[in-house]
Amino acid sequence: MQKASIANILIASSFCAAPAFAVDYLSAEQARKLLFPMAVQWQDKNHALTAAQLQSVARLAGLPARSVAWVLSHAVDDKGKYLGSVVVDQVMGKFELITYAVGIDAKGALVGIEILSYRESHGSEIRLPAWRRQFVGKTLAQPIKTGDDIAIVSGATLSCNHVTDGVRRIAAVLAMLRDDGLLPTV
Amino acid sequence: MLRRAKPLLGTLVELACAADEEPSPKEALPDALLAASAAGFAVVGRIHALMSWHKASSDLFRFNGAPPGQWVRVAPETLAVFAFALQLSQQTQGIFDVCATGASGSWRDLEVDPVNQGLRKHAPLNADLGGIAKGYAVDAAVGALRQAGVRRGWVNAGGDLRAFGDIEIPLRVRTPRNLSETVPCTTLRNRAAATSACYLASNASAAIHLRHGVNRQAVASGKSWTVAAPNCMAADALTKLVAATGDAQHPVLAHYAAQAWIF
Repeated sequence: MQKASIANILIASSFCAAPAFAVDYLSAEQARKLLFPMAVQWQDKNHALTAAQLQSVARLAGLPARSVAWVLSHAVDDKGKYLGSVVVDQVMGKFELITYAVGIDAKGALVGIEILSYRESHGSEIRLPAWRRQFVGKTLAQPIKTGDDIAIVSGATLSCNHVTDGVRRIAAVLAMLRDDGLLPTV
Repeated sequence: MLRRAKPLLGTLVELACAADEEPSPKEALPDALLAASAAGFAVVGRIHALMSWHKASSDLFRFNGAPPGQWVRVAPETLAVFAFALQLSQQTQGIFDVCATGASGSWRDLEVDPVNQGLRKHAPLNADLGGIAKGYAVDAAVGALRQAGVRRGWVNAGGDLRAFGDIEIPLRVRTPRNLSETVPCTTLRNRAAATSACYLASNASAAIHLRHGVNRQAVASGKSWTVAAPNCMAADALTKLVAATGDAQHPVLAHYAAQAWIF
C-alpha cells in the first residue's frame, strides 16, 4: 500500500511564507526526448527578436508577442537531419504558473505539448519577483526538482486557455523564424 | 511513478502511473509506462473531439445542429454519456439535465437508441455535456491505463479525478472564500471525486452548466460542491445535483454509493 503524507501536500516554498501547491511532471530533457524520439543531438539556439519580428509573431499568432528572447532546442537525427524544435515556456494564470514544452516539427506542425510543472500560490504573491525568480533559469539541463509527493486539489476547473495561447505564440515564433531563414533547413 | 500532464478538455489532464518497481528518479522513463500514458491521453483526446461543444466535427455539435425527429449516429462513447445523463435526469426528475443550459429544450425530448447507436430529439434543444463528459473521460483514461497493464495510479482532469489500484490519494478541496487555501476532504481509494463551483468563472457562460434543470436558475455562488463516487462520470454529474439542490444527503447519491460535501 502506497500512502501519501498529507503533510507533503502543501509545500511551503522557501521564497514565500504562504503555502503553495506544486507538481513537477517531466523534466525538459525527458519531454524533448518524448517529443522527438529520433533525435540524437540537440542544438540550443538563442533568438532575440527584433521589433519587426515581434510584429510578425503578433500578427501570425493573433496575440501579443510578449517575449523578446526565445531559446529553441533543435532536434537533429543520426544523419544530421533537422527534425524540429522544442521550446520551453511559462504562462501565468489566475494563481498558477505553468511550465510546458512544445515540439514543432521541421514543417511547422505541432508534434506535442508536455506540461513540465505546475505552481500555485496567491494571486498577489505570484506577481512578486521573489516568487517568480525561483523558476527563472530553468534550463533543459536543470529541472526544478523531482517531486514525488502525491498532491491533489479538487476545485472548479482551471482553464488551460493561457497554455493554448502560449503554444500558438510559440508556433508563430517558429513560423516567423522559418520565413526569415533562421531555422535549420531539412 | 510517471506523472504526465497535457492541456486537454479545456483544462490540464494529469495521468499518474506507478511502476511495479520504482526506478531511481534519474533513470530513464520506463517505456511501458510511457506507452500506457500515451494510450490514456489518446482516449481523452478522442472524447474531447467527440463531445466538444465548439468543434463542428464533434458528435455533440452535429446532434445539436440536427432538426427534431432526425436520428444522428454517434460514437459509442457519446452514446454512453447521453444514456447516463438521461438515467440521471429520470432519477432526479430533471434537476440534472444536459439541456438545462439552453434557452429551451429538456431531457424529456431526448431519445437514445443503443442498438442503432443513434440520438434523436423530439423538440428543439441544445445539449451541453460540460457537466459530465470530463468525468467520463477520466473513467475512460483509467480504463486505458489498466488495459495497458498499469496496476495503480490516477487520472486527474483539473480536479475531477479517479484513483485506481493499490493507492490512497488524500484529497483537498479549494475553499471558495480564499482560493489559495485548501482543506482536507476525503481519501480516495479505487474511487473518484469531482468538484463544481463558480469561483473561477470569468463570465456567466463559463458557469452556465451549474443550473437547476427544472427551474433553470443558476446556483448560488460562493460555494463549492464535491462528490466522491466509484466512477468519475457519476461524481462529476452528481456535483450538479448537489449544487442545484444544496442537499449533500440527496437520496439519489446513495444509489451511486456517492458522498457529498459542501464547502
